[in-house]
Amino acid sequence: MTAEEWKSLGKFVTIDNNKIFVIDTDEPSSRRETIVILHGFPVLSFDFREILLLLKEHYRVVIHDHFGFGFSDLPKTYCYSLIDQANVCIELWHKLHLKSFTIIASQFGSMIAKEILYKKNANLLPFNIKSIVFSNNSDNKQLHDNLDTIHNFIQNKKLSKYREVLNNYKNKDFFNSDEDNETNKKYKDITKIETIWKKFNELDNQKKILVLSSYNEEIYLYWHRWIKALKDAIIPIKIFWRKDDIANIKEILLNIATFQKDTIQIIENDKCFVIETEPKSWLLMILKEINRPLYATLKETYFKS
Amino acid sequence: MKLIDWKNKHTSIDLNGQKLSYIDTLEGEKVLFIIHGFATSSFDYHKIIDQLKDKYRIIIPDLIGFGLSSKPKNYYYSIIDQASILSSLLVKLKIYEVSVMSHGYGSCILCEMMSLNLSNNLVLKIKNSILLNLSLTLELSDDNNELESHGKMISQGILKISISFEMFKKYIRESFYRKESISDEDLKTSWELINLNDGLKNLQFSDYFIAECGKFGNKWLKNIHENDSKVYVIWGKNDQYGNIQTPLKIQSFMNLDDKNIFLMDECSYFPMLEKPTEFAEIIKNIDL
Repeated sequence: MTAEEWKSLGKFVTIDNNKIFVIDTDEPSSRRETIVILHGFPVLSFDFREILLLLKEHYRVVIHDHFGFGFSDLPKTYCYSLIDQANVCIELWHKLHLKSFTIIASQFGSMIAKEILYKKNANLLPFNIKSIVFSNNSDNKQLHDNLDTIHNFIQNKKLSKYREVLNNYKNKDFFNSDEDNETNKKYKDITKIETIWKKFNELDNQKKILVLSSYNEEIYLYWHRWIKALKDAIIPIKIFWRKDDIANIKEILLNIATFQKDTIQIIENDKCFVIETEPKSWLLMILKEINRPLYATLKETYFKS
Repeated sequence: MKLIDWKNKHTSIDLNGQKLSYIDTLEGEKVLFIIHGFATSSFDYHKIIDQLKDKYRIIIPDLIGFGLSSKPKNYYYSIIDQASILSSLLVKLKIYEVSVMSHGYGSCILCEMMSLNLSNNLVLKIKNSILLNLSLTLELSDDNNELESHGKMISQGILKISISFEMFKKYIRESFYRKESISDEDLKTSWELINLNDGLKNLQFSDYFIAECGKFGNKWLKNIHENDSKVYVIWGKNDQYGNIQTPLKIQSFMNLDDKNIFLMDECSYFPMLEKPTEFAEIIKNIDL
């Protein structure tokens, strides 16, 4: 399947004046069991293509590209925060008339899922979440390649300057009411700002970097909040881990040290399945935990031969 | 006022696993919801409640980590957390339309509450917003350096007052235009409120709050700018902490009329304690 074919499966929904790319396999009125997928980084919705084809026979599947990724826009007036990405998801699902569903989330997406879980615990959501599956699904080589790009970018001494210019760009829309105002002076050189913004949109990885630049800071700021979300959860939660996924092992250990709850199950992905190489095995591993009968049937079909 | 007398005026409710303690005068159609600043509590408003309660129903929560509410240990209760718990409180009390008055840190929470609204989670209408000293000062900083220096000033101020009761008295008095306008008894009660349940430790999180302002400042400005709520500013002119430029910045940013800005002479960071009668009159005259 090519990227264009993938694009034709989905549609664009406008949220906050920006377009977001989403694939919804059913009509809004559908009452089938629903699975919502939150992709991580560096994976895009496109990487779930095989999984989607398989799953849609049995579930209504909803998957979107987060703002700044894949086919979705990089919003101009946006603070690129995980909290906002979570709010965008909530608005999107609301618009798709989802009522009740299971979430499968990975990496970047799992932080968004934790924020959504927190809101669910506080009764702030207009829908029911049946369970959440956290599973990092990307192989490390690709992640490290991407991290190198980010590392080089951070080493770039001009970065802080760019960020400030772009920050000003984001603000200019609501500051320019009074042209001679003191606070408006820094927005004078619009052409320079426009050029930098255009450059950011042209290069694919740079676009992501703006979104990811706040990621680390937020994990630190909201660590308490998101651990509490898991701690207080009353819905079943499954967390998968792999021995070759170092960063995640640390998080799993912190989780185990913090709580022991019946609702939270920690499962080892012992064969280290990742979505790029073995999407079907990866999916079966998850189905085994959330839908045994379907797992049995699919295993028959795909692995007998 | 003594701590015990103040405690008797409070009600409490269990929400999201925390005990939230608040003042509620119960009677009145129009609701005035007050969000206090960092390191203070609802006690700041004890002088104006009686004057205002004839006209409005006054609700003043103690934020989590402050005053009589629960104080989680080793836990940063973020601005986003505070905003959700306050929204849950209003939902529980079946209040769907409010006017909000907020002081410093409280204004960040107000903007975040507006954001919860925008993302379709709630149907809470914030009709009027009254911003007091230090509101949006960090968010409206001209550049990163200014934000950093404002942040430093705030953390230093908080560090100073958390050393001992004597230092607390000294520095709180310094943030009053007339040192005699707060009595020893009131200072003692404020100190006791901070110290309840080992609450002094919570003040160490002031840096987190400043980091959060740096991160979400732009978004909050956008929220308050796009919200339909009418904005008023009441500001003590002689405030040594908050930049006195801020009310003018807010005015030009929000395109506010002069009649929406009230600058109080001979008044510093705590207008509601320094000139309670005048302060309450201003609020009574605003058509909330």
